[in-house]
Amino acid sequence: MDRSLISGNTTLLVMRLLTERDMYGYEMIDTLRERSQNVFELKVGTLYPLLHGLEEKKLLSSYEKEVAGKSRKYYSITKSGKKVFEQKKEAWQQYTEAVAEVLLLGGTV
Amino acid sequence: MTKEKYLQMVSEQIRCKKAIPPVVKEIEHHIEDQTLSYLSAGRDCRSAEQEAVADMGDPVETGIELDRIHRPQMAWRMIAIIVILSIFGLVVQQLISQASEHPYSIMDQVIVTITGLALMMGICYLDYSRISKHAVILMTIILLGLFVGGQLFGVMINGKMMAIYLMGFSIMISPMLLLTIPLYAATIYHFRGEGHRAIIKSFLLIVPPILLAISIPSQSTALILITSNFITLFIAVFKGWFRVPRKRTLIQLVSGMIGFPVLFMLMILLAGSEYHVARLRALVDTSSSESYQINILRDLLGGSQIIGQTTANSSFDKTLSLPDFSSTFVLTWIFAYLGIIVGAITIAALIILFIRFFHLSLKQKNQLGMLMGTSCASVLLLQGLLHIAYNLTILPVTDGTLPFFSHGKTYTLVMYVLLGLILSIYRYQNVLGETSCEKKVYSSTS
Repeated sequence: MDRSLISGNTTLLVMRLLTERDMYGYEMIDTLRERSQNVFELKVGTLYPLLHGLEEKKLLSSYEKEVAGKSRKYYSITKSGKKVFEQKKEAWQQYTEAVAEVLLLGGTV
Repeated sequence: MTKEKYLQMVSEQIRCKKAIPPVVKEIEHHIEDQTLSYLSAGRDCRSAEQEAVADMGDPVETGIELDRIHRPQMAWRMIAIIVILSIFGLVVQQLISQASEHPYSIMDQVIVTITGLALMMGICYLDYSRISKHAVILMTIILLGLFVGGQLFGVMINGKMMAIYLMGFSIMISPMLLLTIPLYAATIYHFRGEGHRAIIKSFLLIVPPILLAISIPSQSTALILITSNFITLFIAVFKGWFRVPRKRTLIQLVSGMIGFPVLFMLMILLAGSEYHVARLRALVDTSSSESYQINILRDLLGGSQIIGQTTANSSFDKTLSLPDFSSTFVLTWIFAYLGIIVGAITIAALIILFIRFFHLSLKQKNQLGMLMGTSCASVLLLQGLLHIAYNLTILPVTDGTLPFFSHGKTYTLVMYVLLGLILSIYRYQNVLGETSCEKKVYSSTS
């Protein structure tokens, strides 16, 4: 799949994951990879700056938790983060519907 | 590429060195997790790590992106507001001086304000976490210095041990005591996870500065010390800092917060000096001789104009004879001399600024910054609220100052130190990466 299709919406995907439960970075990448059947393989170079940037904007918050003797940095989505996610999701749905319309129209011509 | 090489290359792109350790730690854990995953899939040790590192992408690109985020940032808008308020404060001092029967020079206050602003900027550039490492020592030095200095070089003003006069310098004791408040916050920060022992230690640490404030005696300083430190302790417990059952401990703390002053008042009534008992009575009985000043203030406020000088001229003249009218009654003076609109704007500007400081500090992810910032902001907020309350005669007359507007060298410098600390916390918020402790573990026990 064309990577540019994915990269623009990484924020949306990450925020979607965090609406379910708090996660740490590796867990997010692993979950995305699993759910998308290896279509979404994010580079960490994309993920951590994105997470830190969202945290800076107060859309995510973080805390440390020890799991199996290892300290993990967990991220959780904030109230304002949830609002932004809903807006982004709506915009994405409008966009995909519009693309589908055009493609469908193209098919019938 | 090896893991070490990759992390080194990421680190090299991040210019703020303080930001590097937490960022590197997080990425290192990620590589380790990925390596383990490849190992369990049957790869050998070397290729597992190499593949894990390759998955990370370009270290330079990642480092540059992280550098853009983890950079110290200056709160220029806040600094501008502070400078404007400082200038307005000096203008008010100049007007007070001109209206006085014996005009005095405010050059001293101008120099102290400029020094204070420079001090504030210096502290802003300092990393506040360094102060925290020596918080206990600094707090002990201040408390011992004020106690011993007061005994040896103390100066009594209006029956109060107000200042220490040493080598030509006069240091006011009350404002110096306020410096212990952020140090208290930094001290209890180090009690992380110590359970009930931490609560007892934190509670006991509140006592020495309050005893010093009472010995002056300074009602407002004691009140600010007890309230600010309790607010800090309350927030620390609420955030699960000490790992104690939250709800129960908070109830105990609030009971202590109410019980402590009640016990203190009872002690004064039973064993206090005549002076202290009279001061205490004035708190509930505003018709006593103690309320002479209140009556002047009420006259002045009653005659205040929308803009310009009060119609209560006789009271206005008396104001100038009130003790410390350029400091303790500066807000009433603004209402009486400049009018209700300027007075109301002054109150609104100060309260909005201090609430903003408090809110900003409370939202800090770095727990040390959060505790120290909220303690500094609560001092300024309480000082402002107390001054407003007794200048508007909501509370009986007491001592105390209004940030930016009151005359006084030590007090002004201490205020800028507190502001500098808040600005430093804001400056390093994306740099000092310690996150809050896990939030869900302790709420279940509450």
